[in-house]
Amino acid sequence: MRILGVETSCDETSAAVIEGNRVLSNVISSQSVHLQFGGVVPELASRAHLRKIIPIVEAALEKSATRLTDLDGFAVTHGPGLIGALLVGVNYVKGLAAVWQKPFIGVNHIEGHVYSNFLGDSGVEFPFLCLLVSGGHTQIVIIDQHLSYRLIGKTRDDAVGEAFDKVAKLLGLPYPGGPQIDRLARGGDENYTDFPIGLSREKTFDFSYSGLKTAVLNYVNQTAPETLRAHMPDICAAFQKAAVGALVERTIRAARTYQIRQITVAGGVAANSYLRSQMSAAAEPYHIRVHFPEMQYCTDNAAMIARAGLERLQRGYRSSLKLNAYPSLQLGEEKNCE
Amino acid sequence: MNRQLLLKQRVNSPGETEALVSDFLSHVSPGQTIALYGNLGSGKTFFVQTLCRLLATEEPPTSPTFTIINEYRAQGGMPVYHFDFYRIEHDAELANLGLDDYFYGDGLCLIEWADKIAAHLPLPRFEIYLDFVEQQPEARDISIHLVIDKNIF
Repeated sequence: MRILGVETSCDETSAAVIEGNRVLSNVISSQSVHLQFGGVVPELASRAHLRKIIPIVEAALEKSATRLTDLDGFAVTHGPGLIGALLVGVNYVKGLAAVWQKPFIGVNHIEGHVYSNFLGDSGVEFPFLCLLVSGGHTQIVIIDQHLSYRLIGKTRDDAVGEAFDKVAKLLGLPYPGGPQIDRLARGGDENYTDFPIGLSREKTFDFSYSGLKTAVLNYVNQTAPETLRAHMPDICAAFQKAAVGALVERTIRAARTYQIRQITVAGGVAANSYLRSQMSAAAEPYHIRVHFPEMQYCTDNAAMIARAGLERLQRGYRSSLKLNAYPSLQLGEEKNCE
Repeated sequence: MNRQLLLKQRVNSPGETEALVSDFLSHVSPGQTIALYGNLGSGKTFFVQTLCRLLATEEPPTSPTFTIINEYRAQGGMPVYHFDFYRIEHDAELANLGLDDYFYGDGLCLIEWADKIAAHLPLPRFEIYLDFVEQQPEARDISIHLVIDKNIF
């Protein structure tokens, strides 16, 4: 099955063509609009998916040498996300499906992240546990079979990616903060100071990052600026130890508790090198296999939406032209069928 | 605009914040807007979480920094809209959000980083300021104002 996927849930406009697990093209606005259409798209237009969606879809088709008639179906993110942004993708794909008389399906953005693990040659087997970590989500889900989700734990306040971004801002680092902290921390001493791990006294699989953020804030306020500057890598490393430590501890404990032998990590924070090495190291003694998506499929992209959509279309799921966008759609919540 | 100070208090613990929120809640009814002001880590999300716990929303609130708007439903069915404009840099980015439908609807609007959309905030509204206290990381000075259109008088 050859599927066109479209993703417009937040800041990125993306379109992709896949066939099975193979990604034939995966175009994301921040890259190709700038390259192809001359000049930097101003920040003012950051959510103007409307202006970008047609050239992005055309670029995805062209790069994969696909004509619209060659496609077996369309997949589009219909939640969660910003309502205005979601509606652009949903209505555009509805238009395509109506004109070309092809099946289409609404895909949950978080389900898309889960399926980023099935792009390329991953060899992920069921059942597996997925740690979903991004700017908007922090949750542990068990996937027993395709399209079935058991939520085991989630954040009670801030998402971990949000904690990275906000702590980077407190430390005066440029945006986006995650990669900056990751890079600086490599040269730092993670035991330079101790930051608290949220909910560490509870036997829970939930997360809390609000307290860690406040702890870094208090630390910054109580420390001389020149000391902060001199020890920036150490502070980044210590923050990362606490933030990533919580992810690793809860994920490994969940896998052991539920006797799951495979862990996948998905979402933007899956690109963090410290998380990658710590998770793999912690899983090894228990013979648990850890899988990370390729870097390019960690952040928001349409290839993962197409892959999840393919799984649904193959099983006969179809959306009707009444498909709506749902800003607060939860993983496993079905709102895409007639 | 007419601004009236309703309350100013130092809280020393989450428990004291909860007591303050509980008192404040008696002023609040559906359709109203509550704008929160305070730096990173000052407790805006905690204030919202406490308020929502007292309203018994179905889902406990989490930070909407990423999604900008979270929607909950309070016991009794009142919609609660939880906004976070931290990521907003330009007014033009607000165009797609349909803010007026929320601000002038029947739900309770709770707005974090309200200073980012100062020109678009509805009247009347409550404004809540959360300030750090020197040398006391756990304490906050909280003040609550009612802001109304002066033409009402």
